[in-house]
Amino acid sequence: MNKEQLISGMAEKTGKTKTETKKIIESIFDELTSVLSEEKSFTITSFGNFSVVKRERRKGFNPSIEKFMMLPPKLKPRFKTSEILKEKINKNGRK
Amino acid sequence: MVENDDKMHIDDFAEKIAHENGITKIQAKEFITTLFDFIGEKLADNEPVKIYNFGSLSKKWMKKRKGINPKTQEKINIPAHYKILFKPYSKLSDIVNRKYRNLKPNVLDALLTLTGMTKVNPDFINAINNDTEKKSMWEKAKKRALIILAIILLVLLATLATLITIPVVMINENNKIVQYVNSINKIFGLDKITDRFKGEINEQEANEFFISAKTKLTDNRKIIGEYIVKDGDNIFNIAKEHWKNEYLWPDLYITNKEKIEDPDLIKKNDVLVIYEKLGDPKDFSKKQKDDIVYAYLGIYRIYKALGEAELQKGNKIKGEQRINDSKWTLYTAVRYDHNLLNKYEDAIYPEDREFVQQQIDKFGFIPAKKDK
Repeated sequence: MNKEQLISGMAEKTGKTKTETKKIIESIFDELTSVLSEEKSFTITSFGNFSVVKRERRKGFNPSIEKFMMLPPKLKPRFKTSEILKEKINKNGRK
Repeated sequence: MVENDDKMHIDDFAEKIAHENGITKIQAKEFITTLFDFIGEKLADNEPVKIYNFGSLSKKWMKKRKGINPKTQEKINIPAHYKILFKPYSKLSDIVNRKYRNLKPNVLDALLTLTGMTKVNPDFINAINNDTEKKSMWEKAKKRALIILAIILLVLLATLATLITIPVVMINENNKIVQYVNSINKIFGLDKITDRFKGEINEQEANEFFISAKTKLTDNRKIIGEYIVKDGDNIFNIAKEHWKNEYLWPDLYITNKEKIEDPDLIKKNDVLVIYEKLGDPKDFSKKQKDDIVYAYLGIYRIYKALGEAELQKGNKIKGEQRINDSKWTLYTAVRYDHNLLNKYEDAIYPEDREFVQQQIDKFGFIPAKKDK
């Protein structure tokens, strides 16, 4: 499912117009992005937890320039499935 | 890996969305819940959800595996299950990593000076690239050699067995298997070896211990910096430099365990992560006491395992020295928790327990005051 389908599906569910729905959905994910960029986490009880983890700087080898490099630290967005969603997706066993 | 504990509450989140879209907070909250429930439904139906400029979510099958509960250290079996896999798109990653955008990977020239090369030799690069390939070939060759050796040994054993079992069978038919095994063991001196290996520390168990110790020690602690190991450094001095107390070094070791195998052997240019000081030993809280004692127990284990490994290799002096170190480590730890020997009875070998008790009887407890 892409964003277009998500918008039309949500418009159907909430009874709002597609334009309205699109605006709200976009503002939700923009807000979520800015929450993550402030290194905060956000939990939706029935869905899961979005957070960022820090990868420390490390040594690596760049094969294209044939040099050893010290790679800078990196923040990685992460998602942890909530128990409720876990139950939901595991309800029917393996498909 | 550090996880940030700052949380955004759904109410605050909904308020912002409400404000931006001219709807009420309750409506916004309801919309958010419906949205994620809808995404959840789609995911449950095996349909991946792709959100432009944010990321993709999809269902992934995880095979069953073994794990440990970091709180109780119990071994648990994790059954096979589905989980949701989140892949952030590059736009999201870029925004999140805004504050690091000026940091570029640095070329490490130190390695060139170290190896004395003016530039990296192409052969050297090829060697690195082919390393994995060569390794697997080497592994295969080793396996083949081992199989051949095993066959030869089996043939030898079989001939020996026929020689030995004949008299045994004649003496007593019922006990023949036991006697047969015993006689084989005696011939090869195996009986002594099996006795000695009863003290060996299981590697997997030790690894699990270290993971739980690290979880304990890094829980809720801030990182205050990094330290690149120089020539002549040792882990005690680094602990003293940053925490003004060299006796806290086990903490430094456990929190950097994945980079250091042997506590007495840190490598130049290793980057150690320095957490904030655990606390002042004079007024440690109960949790801090537990944590430091746990770290010391880790050192006790690693010294013991390294000692056993040396003995196994046949280095008797080195091995016994290591095992001795492990006992003294325990005695050092007792000062933080006078009840340690009883509390961690299962984790300490009886002979070491006896040794530490003797030292306590002889010298008493080292006063915690001695820590600066």
